[in-house]
Amino acid sequence: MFVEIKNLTVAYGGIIALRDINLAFEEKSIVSIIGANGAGKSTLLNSIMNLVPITTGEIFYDGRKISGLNSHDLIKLGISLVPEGRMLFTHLTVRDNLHLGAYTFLREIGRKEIRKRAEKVYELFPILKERKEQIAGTLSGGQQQMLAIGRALMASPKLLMLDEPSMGLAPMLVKDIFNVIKHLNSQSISILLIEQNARAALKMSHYAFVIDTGRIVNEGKGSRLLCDEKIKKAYLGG
Amino acid sequence: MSVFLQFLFSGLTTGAVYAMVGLGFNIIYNATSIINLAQGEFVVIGGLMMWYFSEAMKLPFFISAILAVASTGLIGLLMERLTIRPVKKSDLLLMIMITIAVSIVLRGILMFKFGKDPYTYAPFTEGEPIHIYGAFIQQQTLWVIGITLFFIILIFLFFNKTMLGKAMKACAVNPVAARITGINVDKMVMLSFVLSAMMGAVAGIAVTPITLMEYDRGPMLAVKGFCAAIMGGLGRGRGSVIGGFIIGILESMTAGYIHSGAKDAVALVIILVILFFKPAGIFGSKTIADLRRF
Repeated sequence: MFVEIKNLTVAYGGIIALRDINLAFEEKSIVSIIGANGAGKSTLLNSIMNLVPITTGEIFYDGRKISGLNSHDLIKLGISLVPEGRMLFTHLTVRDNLHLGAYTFLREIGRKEIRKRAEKVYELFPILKERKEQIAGTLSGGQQQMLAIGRALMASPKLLMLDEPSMGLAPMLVKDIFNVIKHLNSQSISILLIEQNARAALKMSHYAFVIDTGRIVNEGKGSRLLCDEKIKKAYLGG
Repeated sequence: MSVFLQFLFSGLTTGAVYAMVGLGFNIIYNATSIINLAQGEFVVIGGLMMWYFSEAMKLPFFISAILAVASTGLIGLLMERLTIRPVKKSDLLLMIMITIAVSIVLRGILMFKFGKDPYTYAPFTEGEPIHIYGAFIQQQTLWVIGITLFFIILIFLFFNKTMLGKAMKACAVNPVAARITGINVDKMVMLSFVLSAMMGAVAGIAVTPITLMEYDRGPMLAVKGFCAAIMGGLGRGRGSVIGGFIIGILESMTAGYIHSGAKDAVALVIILVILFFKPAGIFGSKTIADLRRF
C-alpha cells in the first residue's frame, strides 16, 4: 500500500477529532474522503502533514513510517497539501508564491529548475502566467485556487492532498478544477481529496472513505458508494 | 542659506539613523508581523560595544566593528530564543509587549555595565569638515548617510530578489502556509531577529562619533524609527528610509527655527496624523495594507 494509516487518533483542545482511523490506498489512485462539516476530514489531512499532533497511531507512506516527521521533510518525500482556504502568501506576487512552493528544493535543484517547474504550472493554468506579477491576494477565487494547486505542484509531489478545492467557486470553475485533478492523476500523481461536493468527488474517485464524527463509517469504490442508499440520503441530497 | 544648510545636514544625519531603525523594524515585521520595540536598544548596544572593543580593548577598527555587529546579532538571537520562541503561539499584541519588556531589561543591563555616561570614539576618517555654501558637513555624516544607502540597497535586494528573503516574507504573511510549503519558519524568525539586530548595530556604530551614545537612547530611537516605518508603510524598506530622512530633517528644522524642546514632538505628531488619515503610510500600498494581519 502506498499510504497506510493505522489506529490514528487525534485529540486537541479537549475534543477527539479523529478516533481510531484505519485507512489505506494504492499508488496513482484518486481517493476521496467525504463527510459532514466538522467530521474530521481536514484534521486527517493536517495530521498526515504533521500540522496537528497525533495522539496515537502511525502513518506509513511509500513503505516508511512518516508520522512524526516535520512538514518540510514530508514535502521532500513528495507529499504536498493544498490547504483549506488556499492559504496563499496573499501579498506576494503570483510568481513568488509559485517559486516558494519549491523553496525546500532550492539547494538541490537550483533556481533554473524552479523556473522550469513554474513554466509547467503556467502550462496547466495559463491565466497564472498572464498574472504572474500580480499580488496573489487580488486574484479571483478561482485563480487563487489554481495558484494554491500550482504552488503545491512546485514540489513535484507523488501524493497531492487537496482540502475542499471547490469551496466558494462557481460551478463552471469547479468543473475545471476537477478536470485538472483528473489530469494530474493521469500523470501518475496520487490524489487524496476532501470534498463537500460528494457526488462529483465520488464520480471521479477510485476509492472513497466516509467519515462521521471522527470515525470511518463506510468505504469502498466510488461507483459503489454513489449507489449506497444511506450515503445517498446523508451526503448526496437524497 | 548657510544656517538652513547646516540644519539640513544635521537632519540628514539623524534621519539616516531613523531610517536604519525603520529598516530594522521592517526586517522583523516582514518575517513575523511583530513590531520589535527593542529595536532602539540594538542601536545603543552596537555603539557601546564598538566603544568597548575599540577604546576599552584597543582592538583595530575593523575587528571592533565586526565584533560589535556580531555581538549585537547574538543578542538578537538570544532575544528570539529566550523571549519570542517560547510564546510563539500567542497573539501578536502579546509578542509586542514582550519586546517592550526586553527593551527595559536590556536598558537595565546596559546601565549596569556602562553606567549613565555618554560614550564616543574617533570618527571613521580623520579630517576637516567639508565646507559647502557656508555650512559644515562632518566626514562622519557622509559615512552615516553612505552606510545607510548601502544597507537600503542590500535589504531591498535581499527581500525582493533572493529566495531566502521571499521565504522570510512568506512566514509573516502566513506561517502555516509557509510550513506547508516546507519553509522552516522557526529558522526564518530567528534569522530576522539576528539581521535586524545587526542592522541596528551598524547604525549605532556609525552614528556614535557624532551624537555620542548612552544607555537610555533606545526608546526615543525606537519611536522615531517606528514613525519612519509607519510613514513609509510598514514592511516597505524604501518607504521607511524616505520616512526616516523626512523625520530627521523636520526635527532639525523644528529645533533650529522653532525651539529645540519641540523637536521630539515632531515624530509623535507625524505618527498621529498618519494613523488618523493614511494608516497604510504615505508610500504604502492600500491593497497590501488591507491584506495584512496587523
